[in-house]
Amino acid sequence: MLSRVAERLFWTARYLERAESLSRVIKTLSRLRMDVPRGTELPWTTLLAILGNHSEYRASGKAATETNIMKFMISEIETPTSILFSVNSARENARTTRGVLPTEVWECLNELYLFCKDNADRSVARKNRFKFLNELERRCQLLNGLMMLIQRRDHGYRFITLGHLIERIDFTLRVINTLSSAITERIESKPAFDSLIWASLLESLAARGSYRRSYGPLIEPDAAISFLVLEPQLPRSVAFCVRNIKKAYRPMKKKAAVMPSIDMLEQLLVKFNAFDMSDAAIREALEQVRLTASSISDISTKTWFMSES
Amino acid sequence: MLNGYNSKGCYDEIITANGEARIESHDLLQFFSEASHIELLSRARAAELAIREMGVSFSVYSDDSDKVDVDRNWQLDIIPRTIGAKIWREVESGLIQRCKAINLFIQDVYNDQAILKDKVVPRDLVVKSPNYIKECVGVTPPLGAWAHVCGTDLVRDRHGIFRVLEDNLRIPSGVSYMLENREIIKRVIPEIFQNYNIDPVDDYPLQLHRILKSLSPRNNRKPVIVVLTPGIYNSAYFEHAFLARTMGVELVEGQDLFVTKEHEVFMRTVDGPERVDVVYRRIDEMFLDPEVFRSDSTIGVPGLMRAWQNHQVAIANSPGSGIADDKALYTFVPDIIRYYLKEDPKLPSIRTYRCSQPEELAYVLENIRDLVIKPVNQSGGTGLFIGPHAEEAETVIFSKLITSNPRHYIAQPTIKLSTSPTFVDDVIEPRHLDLRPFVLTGTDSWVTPGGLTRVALRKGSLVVNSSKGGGSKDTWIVNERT
Repeated sequence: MLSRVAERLFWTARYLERAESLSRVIKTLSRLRMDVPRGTELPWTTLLAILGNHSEYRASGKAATETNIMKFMISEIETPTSILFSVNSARENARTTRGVLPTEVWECLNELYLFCKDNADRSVARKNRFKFLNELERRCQLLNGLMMLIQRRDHGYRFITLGHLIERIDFTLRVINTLSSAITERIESKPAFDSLIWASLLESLAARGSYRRSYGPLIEPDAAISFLVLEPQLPRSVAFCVRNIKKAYRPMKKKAAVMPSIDMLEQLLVKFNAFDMSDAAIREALEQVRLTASSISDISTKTWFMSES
Repeated sequence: MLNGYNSKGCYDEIITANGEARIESHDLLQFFSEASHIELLSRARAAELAIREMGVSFSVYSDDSDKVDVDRNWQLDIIPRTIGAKIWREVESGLIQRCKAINLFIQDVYNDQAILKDKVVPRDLVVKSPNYIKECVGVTPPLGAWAHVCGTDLVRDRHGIFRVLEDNLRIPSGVSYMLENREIIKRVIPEIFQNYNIDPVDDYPLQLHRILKSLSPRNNRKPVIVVLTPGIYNSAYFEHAFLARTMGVELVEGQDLFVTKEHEVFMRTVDGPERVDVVYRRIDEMFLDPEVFRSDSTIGVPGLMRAWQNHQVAIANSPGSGIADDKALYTFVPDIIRYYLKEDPKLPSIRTYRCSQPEELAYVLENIRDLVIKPVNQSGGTGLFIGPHAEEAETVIFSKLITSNPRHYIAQPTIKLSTSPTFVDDVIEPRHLDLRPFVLTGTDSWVTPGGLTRVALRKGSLVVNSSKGGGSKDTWIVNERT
């Protein structure tokens, strides 16, 4: 596997994962607006806070209205955090690796891109938004399923897996931390509705049913966070991702470069106990997990993707 | 749909002058003449959709800047072009003869130079050509083969005779579109294949792989073959990826390769460096190796030429092959065939005037309005002057250009290219076309059954290049029914 190709496959996967995650979180916030009473809803700028691009948005001088922020998040191809940008980047990375991707995978990704390009603009308004996002997620899942079924289990596949998992940890933790601080910072506290926020977060990660089976139907913030971080059986939990990151690196020469960071991640998770920590301490601990996971991405770049001669 | 079809004295591939179908086109013509307008539109739409979804694309460089219109969709006409198998076998043997002689010629001019000593080809025309690469002198590549992949452009004149328009020996492209065209027509109009016995085309990647493998400098193991591309912004990137994928080899860019002090070529992989044996390069030789050619090339591989000179790696096509597709040498190819093979050329050429010869230059200037003038070093239809279609001012400018640099130009009479029924602008009308078969040369020779048919979509136009509004057709070599 060429280093350059491995790198592009890794980024194809990261961008695909990001597009899907963006879609999920936009849906969650949009749905919450309809469920909770006025005055308790989370502002649209919460979306910007998740991606840490509040200041870029402010610099654009646009008012923080629903339409503007949706455009920013969905259809503006110049915005590096928009869905269209992510899908386009995934396709561009894949286009330069067409030699190793199965034809079906490429065609499926190309169709996903064409679908987004043709429909993203029209999907900003609430009327079409859900339809578009649902279809987008369906297509992402089709693509992931296809790769799982037909892609060769070589280093290429491992870097695709790593791209998904590393991006997933990053995104999930950003969402948890942002929601947690948004709830804390709100002037008017209505704890009765807070559980709705965590419920829809679980929902967006397809984890609600699984949560109920572990903790019962009542959704509490600490339990929800703990579940999303530590539940070993949940494919979107941080612990699950870390375990599979380790598995993906195992057959690689030079894996010694990332093992210290993975060990550190494991230790951080062992120490993590949402029930005995303050909200601020939880956020700090999770941020540390997130940064350690990102460092794995940087180490991979240096170890496997950069040229050597 | 075919009422009033008139090819205006040109040879038509499908319909005879009496308005009847040629034997090999009978069922095909029946299908398309019976199809309703709606039916044709829906098939054309389906073909477009298939092209879009399969991502069959090419890039176009605009004339006025370095900007690239990335990723334009490929144009395919839904009506295939048919050629009878019997006549095709003759063309095939003519192509093999031509490529054989051309390879012997290249080997000779970089080594013994017998043909120059015997004054069959003027020495200056060869050694002073910008395509004569001095770094190739004294080199004998594996099997003595230089131009392993040759794309020869053929046209049919008004009598239906196939003639060679030009040879492309450097990095000829288009073969992937030939394969994809067949794939798309099979998807879109599966029923017309029913009554036909057509040569399959999908053998190409296998044959190319076989030829490339035979060039490997190390022969005791499975050779490592790579396709070297300039990258995604190259107009033929789609094809580079296509060939790498279908041969099951790596698609590499210059930055993926490096050459050691021992002249060995390696690619950078996740598991560390891996030795490379054969490079199928799709980079122009001027950019191939910044140590030797243009030092500002960022797409090349420093040291690749010395690796090749020292037989540590095989390169296809060999650097220096371009000496034989220099358009000024085109007129000598029949002599080259006679010289090396002691045979008469089987495929006729087109009468060509060399502006470097004073008497021929005079003829060209006098008859410029009836001629096509071509610069000897350009491809893709750039810098072409078409007399009958040119404005007065353009004619004046071109006459000056030719006079100031006659070595740079050749001229040919305008040929009435053959036509074929084509579905454009909602009607079926005749459109001019040519044909680019691909000839592979290694241990033996192999020719694609048919090739890439390019069609000028604009009415009356003779320009078939895809970058200049040309489209393409699936090309069928039709065997008689058994």
